[in-house]
Amino acid sequence: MMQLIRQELYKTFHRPRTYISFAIIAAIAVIIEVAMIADGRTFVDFALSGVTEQFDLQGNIINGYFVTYIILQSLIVNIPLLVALVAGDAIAGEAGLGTLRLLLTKPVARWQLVISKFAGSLIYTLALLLWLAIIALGLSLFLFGEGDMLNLKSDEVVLLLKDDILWRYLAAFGFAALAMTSVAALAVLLSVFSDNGIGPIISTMGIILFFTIITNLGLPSFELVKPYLLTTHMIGWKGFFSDPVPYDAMRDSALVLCAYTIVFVAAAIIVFNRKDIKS
Amino acid sequence: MMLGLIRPDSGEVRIKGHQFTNANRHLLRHIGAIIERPDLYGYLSGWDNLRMLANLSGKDINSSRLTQVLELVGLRGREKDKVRGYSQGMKQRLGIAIALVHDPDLLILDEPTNGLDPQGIAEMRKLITSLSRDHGKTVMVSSHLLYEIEQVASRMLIIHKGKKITEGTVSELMDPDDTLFDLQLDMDAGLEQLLKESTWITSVEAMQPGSVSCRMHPDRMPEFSAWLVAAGAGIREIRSSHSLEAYFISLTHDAAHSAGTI
Repeated sequence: MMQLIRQELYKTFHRPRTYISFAIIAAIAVIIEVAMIADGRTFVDFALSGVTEQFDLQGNIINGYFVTYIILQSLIVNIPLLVALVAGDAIAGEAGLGTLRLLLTKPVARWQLVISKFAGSLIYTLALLLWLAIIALGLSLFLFGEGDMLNLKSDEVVLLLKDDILWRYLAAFGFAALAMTSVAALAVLLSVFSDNGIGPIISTMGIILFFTIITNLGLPSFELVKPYLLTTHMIGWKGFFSDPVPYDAMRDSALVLCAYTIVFVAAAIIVFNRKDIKS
Repeated sequence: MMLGLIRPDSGEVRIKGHQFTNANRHLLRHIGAIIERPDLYGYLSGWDNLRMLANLSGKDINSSRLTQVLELVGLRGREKDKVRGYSQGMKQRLGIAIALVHDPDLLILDEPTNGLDPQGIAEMRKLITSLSRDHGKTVMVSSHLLYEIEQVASRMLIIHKGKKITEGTVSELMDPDDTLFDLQLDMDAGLEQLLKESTWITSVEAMQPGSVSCRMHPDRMPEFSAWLVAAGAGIREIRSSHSLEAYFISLTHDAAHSAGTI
């Protein structure tokens, strides 16, 4: 099993496609950081125009924590798509290449293959988030330094003191890892049904976008289904930037994400076990 | 189906006397296979492809074994190149190396000469023969290229429209007495009478003025042709169509006729 996982990682990290995601994250993060160096003051004045009428804000508002939050909000729609790029290709890509047949002529159980594909996608996802942490949080802190963080929400402004922030980011990355794991599991499941990588990648992206729109639309008729949608719970990481942190709701979200992951992977194993491999 | 890629509607596959199911896929360690095309990871080197798949074979395989197999299939020296730069023949040979690396008892090769140039086909034929003769492997080849099969096979099984229509050793299936000869002769009148007097022919299939198709053992042809010339029938051409292809066509034609599906 470990052998299979090692091979998955070897294959994943020897493909140029894998590094597209890392390049996209770096590009977006660096562009935002450069823009904040150039126009940060104008951006903050505009964003805080409602607040400064009532409060006098002093200090280093454009600090590393603040910039990181802006980067994360910009990237949050993209990360699942980048996860799908590799996880969606995991099994379907091998079928497209014809190498799936080659693998299955070896004494390897099909469930082991699915688990190794999922584990490979999971490690790629974690590497992607670690990269995001380094580029977004590490580089922003390096460029802009520490400071108290203003979290501008639609209906409130949360001020977090600088000594109370780093743990929130680490916890948020942990939560994001859980959320992205469920996306990877969905992509692997869809990957089982297809014989080329494009279908599952597009389907995963489509499903995530579709449910993200439903989650974000405030229509009453969608309220009923929202608690059951993956996308509703994927944005749970934002909870760490509220004060107080809504631990109960976040625990529920974490459980829902875990449940989705287990169901997706189990379904992938069941379907793959029954599938006739013709290419 | 034999390798568990497709589930059978009925029946079972037995490997080394054990029923092969998803639960005992470890039996696959006794088999090496390439299926139709040598599909490999183009972005990895030949060595990486071989090493990765060798590690999944269920046996401990060291680097010297990998080198040995690469030597055997004639890829030594090119193993560090990316597979996407390999010719079709090189990919096919790497496929054979992957099938062989764990020293299986049985090799299943599906269309092993697919996409190969004439030289590649000849090399593959030599390799298959050598694997069987020098290395004691049982090699099962499935192919539509019947001429190739005829050159290497000791036993044959013919499947037509999903059903086995015949099975046996090559000599059993292709009786030399039934070898078909087409003769072009400088004789019109009296040819039929002449053939009736012949003791070498097994049967006459067709006869037209100046030509005849008949069956006989190839060893009898020298005597028969000398006798024809002595009898005044000058020979312009003798063509033998003793081939697996001719046999296969006659067999499948018969099968289609008996099934009423032609």
